[in-house]
Amino acid sequence: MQFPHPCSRRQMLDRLAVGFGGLALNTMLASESSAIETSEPPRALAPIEPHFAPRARSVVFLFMQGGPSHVDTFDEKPALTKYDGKEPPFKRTRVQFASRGNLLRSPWRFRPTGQSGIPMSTLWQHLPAVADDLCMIHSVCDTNVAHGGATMKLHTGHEALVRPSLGSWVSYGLGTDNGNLPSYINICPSSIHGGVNNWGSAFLPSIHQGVPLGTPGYPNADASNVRFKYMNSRPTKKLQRLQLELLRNLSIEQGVADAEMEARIQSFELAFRMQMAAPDALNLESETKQTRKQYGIGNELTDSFGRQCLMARRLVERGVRFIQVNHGGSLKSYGIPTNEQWDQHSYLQRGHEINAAQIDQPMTAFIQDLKSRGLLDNTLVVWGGEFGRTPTSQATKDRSIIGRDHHTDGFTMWMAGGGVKPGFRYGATDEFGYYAIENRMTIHDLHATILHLLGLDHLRLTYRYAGRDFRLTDVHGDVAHGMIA
Amino acid sequence: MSGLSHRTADGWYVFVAAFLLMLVFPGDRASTADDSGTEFFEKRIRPVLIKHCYECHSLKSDELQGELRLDRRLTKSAPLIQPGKPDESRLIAAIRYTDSDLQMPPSGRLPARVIADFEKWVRDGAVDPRPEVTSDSTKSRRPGRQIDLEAGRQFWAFQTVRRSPPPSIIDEWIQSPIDAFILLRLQTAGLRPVERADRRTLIRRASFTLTGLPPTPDQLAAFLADKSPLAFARLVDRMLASPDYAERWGRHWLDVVRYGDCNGADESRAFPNAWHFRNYIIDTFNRDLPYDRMIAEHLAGDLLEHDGEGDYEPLVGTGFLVLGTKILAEQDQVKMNVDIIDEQIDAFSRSMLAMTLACARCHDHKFDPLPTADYYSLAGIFQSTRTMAGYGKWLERPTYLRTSLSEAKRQQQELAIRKADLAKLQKESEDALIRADAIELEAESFTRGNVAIETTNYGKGIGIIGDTGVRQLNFAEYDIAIETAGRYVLQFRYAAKTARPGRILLDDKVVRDPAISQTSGDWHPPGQRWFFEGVHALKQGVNTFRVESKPLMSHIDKLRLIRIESMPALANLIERVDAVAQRVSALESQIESPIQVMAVEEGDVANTRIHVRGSHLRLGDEVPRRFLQVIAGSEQTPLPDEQSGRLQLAEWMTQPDHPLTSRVMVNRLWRWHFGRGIVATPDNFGLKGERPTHPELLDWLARRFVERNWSIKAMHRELMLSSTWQMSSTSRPEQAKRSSGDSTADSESSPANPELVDPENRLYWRASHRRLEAESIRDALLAVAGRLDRQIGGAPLTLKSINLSIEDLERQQTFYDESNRRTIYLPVLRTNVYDFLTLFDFANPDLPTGSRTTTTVPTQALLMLNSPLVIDCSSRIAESVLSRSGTSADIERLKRVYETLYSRLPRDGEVRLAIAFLTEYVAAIQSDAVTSHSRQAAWAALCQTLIASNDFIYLR
Repeated sequence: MQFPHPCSRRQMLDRLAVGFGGLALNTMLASESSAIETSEPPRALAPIEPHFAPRARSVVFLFMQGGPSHVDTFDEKPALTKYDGKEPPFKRTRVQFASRGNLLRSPWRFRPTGQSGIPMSTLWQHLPAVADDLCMIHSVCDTNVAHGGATMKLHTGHEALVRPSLGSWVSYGLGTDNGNLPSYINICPSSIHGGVNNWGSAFLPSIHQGVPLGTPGYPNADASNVRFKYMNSRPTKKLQRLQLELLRNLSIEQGVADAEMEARIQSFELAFRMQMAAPDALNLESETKQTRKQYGIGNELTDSFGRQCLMARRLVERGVRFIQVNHGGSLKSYGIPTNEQWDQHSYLQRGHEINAAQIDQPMTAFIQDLKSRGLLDNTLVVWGGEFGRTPTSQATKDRSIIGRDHHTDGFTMWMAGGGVKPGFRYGATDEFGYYAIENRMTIHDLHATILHLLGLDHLRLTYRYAGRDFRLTDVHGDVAHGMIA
Repeated sequence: MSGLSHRTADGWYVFVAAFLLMLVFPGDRASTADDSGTEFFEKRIRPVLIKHCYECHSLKSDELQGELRLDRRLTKSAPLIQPGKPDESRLIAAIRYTDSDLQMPPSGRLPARVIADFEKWVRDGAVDPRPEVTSDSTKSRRPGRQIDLEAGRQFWAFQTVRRSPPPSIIDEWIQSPIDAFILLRLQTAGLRPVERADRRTLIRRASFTLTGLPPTPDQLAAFLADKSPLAFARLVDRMLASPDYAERWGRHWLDVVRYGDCNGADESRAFPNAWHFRNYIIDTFNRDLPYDRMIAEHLAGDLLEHDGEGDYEPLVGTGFLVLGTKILAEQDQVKMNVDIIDEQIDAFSRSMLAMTLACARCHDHKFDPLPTADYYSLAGIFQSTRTMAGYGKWLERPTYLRTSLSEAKRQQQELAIRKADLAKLQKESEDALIRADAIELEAESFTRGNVAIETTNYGKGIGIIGDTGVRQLNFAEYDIAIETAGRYVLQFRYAAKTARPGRILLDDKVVRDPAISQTSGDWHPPGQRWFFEGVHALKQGVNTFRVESKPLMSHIDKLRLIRIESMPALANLIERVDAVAQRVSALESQIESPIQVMAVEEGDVANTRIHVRGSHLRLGDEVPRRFLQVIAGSEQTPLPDEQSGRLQLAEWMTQPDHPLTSRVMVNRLWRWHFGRGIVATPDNFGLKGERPTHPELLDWLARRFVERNWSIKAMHRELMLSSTWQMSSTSRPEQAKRSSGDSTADSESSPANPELVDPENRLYWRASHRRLEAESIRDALLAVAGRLDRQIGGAPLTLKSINLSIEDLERQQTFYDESNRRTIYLPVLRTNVYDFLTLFDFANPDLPTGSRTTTTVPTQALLMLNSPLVIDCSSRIAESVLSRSGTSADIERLKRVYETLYSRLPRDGEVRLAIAFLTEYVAAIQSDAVTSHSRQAAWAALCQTLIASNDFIYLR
């Protein structure tokens, strides 16, 4: 008798998120902790061969919440200076967020950086040192004009419906190399604009959902005291070991009726190992003073983001597949009435100065550190916000507090490592930085490209749900081969 | 042709319309191409068209986009091409990328040189040597795949529910017709069902299935003592009658209707009144509201009379249509509206039809016989329904609980009478005032003021004053000379559709506040009415009246003053008006205030047009509002022009012979009892869903359901009183056991090994193990620890603020951790679902879910090991058994713990393990002396381990 049951390669392992591959409990308990402990992951997270040779083995997404202004950071537009204060000579997008101000020049000077000459504004004092490792994408476009819709689209490919997040798709497609840690970790995530849906697995098996490090909040948690929930090994290791032994013996007495129940017992053993491994992975004190200083740890302005970046590096080393680092919070303590971190509808100048200063040194150090350890080749670093900011002004004519609105049809993100062309500029906006006109990179294209760099074909990475095969890129997405080295 | 030039929201639409008309009336047939023009076209233009445009705009296109073909002569006509005028040609606009709605080719802007070529080509007259086209070639669109409805009807799900008598097998195993269907299939596969489950297993399974809670030791003892053959039936009846049942099964239904207490999605605003819908569902299950009535209330409760029972008005049921996730920050309001309707169609079709109709939004359904026209037919029904109260705000409507309804009705009746009195008196006084000698002024004759005077539109024919539209304090002052000092009635004549209260000052003193605050039904001149604005003592000489209002103002036409002394009867009349008016306002303040519930109402009724490829910017043909053609046929009685059609939709859905309604629901019930539906995809009965494993049984159940007046409780009895339901979950075949002593059994008839034949148990040869759902795990934990608060209904935590703050979220978290209420009463924050629930596979509250998954992940284990809730419950149980008098021996304590946690007694091996554990644990804590503290800790650790163990969390 046959019951047709279509399933993809990963889907057949759904129900059994924990397999039989784990180390035996006693072996595990006996093992001495070494520098970096890894162990075989549960079956649903077991590493799977990608569709083709990957360029990157892991992804670190530096998410800039609120939408950094591309024309003030990386997309130099002399025309804005020339036509400052003038009515724009082009038709604006049909749907805009709020303002209809005139063209606004950047308050910052741009200069070419590195051998490659990538223009960066003077907001960046450290980043030019790694300019030749960066691949600018100046033509990101086609997203929602509101934070929520755009944030969800960037993270899940859909601006409204609950869909698996990029990191969950990656975990589903590749599994993980280290069973002691989750395959997808989100450091200091935000609870707003989609909240958990931005790292959720939706209909993918829940083992692929991002595990928050720190309580999701708004403003986001400070990185100095974050941990995984329920990983507070409560009594002592010794006492909990007694419990685990009893659990296993009881299961034999009670009768392990099926694979699922067996898997459940295994899951306790895995949990126990994770409990051991996580504190070590997050222990920044074990880094040299020099390294911590390099990341800006200890300096009030850069401490939180520096810690996040350093944790990200330690997690990359430990084989975690997808890591998100979040720059999101509030500037209220600086007296700036901004909503989200980069959301400078007003106070563009002061706001962006503080924002850039908070991340400039840490992320530069992060890229240098990855490179010096030989990790950058295998690690794709992605930097960007949910949208850019308008080349036009908002709020006021008062230059001291003038700002920019949300902008969706042409803005900049950058990548580094993981197979992208270093010191390269891909795509372009028009002379005002309004429309992406060259090599337009929709969010679906971006996702297709990231998957491609990981060795995954976005057309083949599917999951059967509600009667059809779903993809991260829905029915869209083109790989931007032009930016791949 | 001037009609062509009007602008619509969609540039392409105009573009296409113009193009098509242009084909009918080619304007420039006679023009001949000169040679150089032809050469330029062939060298610079045509190759670009071929390379960048033909993929979507030619006869070879898979799907012709915008009904525009560029593989034939581009006739010169506005707005596509204006020869000589590139700036006015939309083709040029498209390739220039200067218009955000019209950017071609979509892959990116063409090089500037190419754009320059096109500009030159148009400037030079747009010579196009290719063959002309004739009007009928506009039909050259490639025929799309047409859905064959007749073929579609042959699919099992659309076939009439068959009359399928149970197979006539005689077997002592058969207790119910269900068993006959099951046994026949088992026999065909050479299998026998396993033995009946023991009584402890049965009561535990029944209790968790029906109530979501474990049996208490007392309930267990009572059931074990009841030796009657009817004991189990009585147990089922008792459980069905208990309110715990509705709290359990209401939650199943909340999965299907994707219940949430906040919007979720991008801007997660709270739904402060959603909990009424939740309690309505619990009430509905408690009183076993017939299922047909229940879904009718979900779709059209606002249009139905109350059935006489239950706490809630049927209106509350329409919360189903409002509860969905919406993109509240969507700046494109047209899109927001169509997205909301899409969500409604998705929720409706998946929950009640088990069809993925939302797939037909952009194109005909790829697999099922659901043309895109059907989607927009239903969209028309929902479009004609009001779901939103305004931008970003869903509709809430006032209603009463039945318990407070009679008092509210009495008050309302009195209020209506008083209001009628008041209106009559006001009319009388108005008539009297009209006859009186009066000083009457046009409002626009003010002495000083900053108001706007309008003589057109709102002031047409009469002249009015109103606000200027600028945010300001609007005022007008009137210096009025009075000959005779005395008390004067002041009246204003104004029109106001909504109240815009202001105030009146007399000689700089406020004499009436609020003033000009009434409504008259219309802003326009027909809405103008006289309103009483108080009695004022005026002095001889100039008196200055000032009327002011901020930021808006009613539309004032006139004012007038009447000296009361000139009309003695008037004073008395005015006093009576005042007295009644005061009574009315007193009544209004006392009146039983209604509750606000999320609900819909009838809206502006209209059919919709097909949105080409799902885009609200490309509208196609209008389709009538109607039901799915594959079921209801293509010739349907048109829906009334003055009704949305929801009532008719509800009637259609609940016809006894509807092929899906009853099947879908009995399959859901089966799924929740057995862990897998007869159709394994309860939300998808389409081609891509699973086929029924027992189609005859499904149809038998569906008919039975309708015959039993759609009673869900009756179906529970049907299912649970079958042998199928009562089987053990062990793999021992019943017959093998029964015939073990029967030496005459020959080997040929001995059953096959079911583990090999049907390892997935799709034929039901045994009961399947099932992990408890998240709610049951939490509720059972609270119950066994003695923490569970059994209060029914209410809203233990309401979300007052629409915008959830971080404090709300924190309050929420604390509340979750500390609450002792059953889980169904915890608010479901879609963007922040309680992690205890999500870890154990709680349904995604954004989407209809008929079948939760069961995953096993290490984080669940971490929770069991470290969560404060588990730790607290464990130590409470330990405390309780240690403090019980009379059970001094550990073995007695252990029995008590086992009965509480597992509804059974410990086996010998388990006793040995537990005792050894206690000793070791105590020793590990404190190697020298056993103190009561470490004993308590050891017992708590033991209880925690037993809770973490499979037998607590799995039903056998």
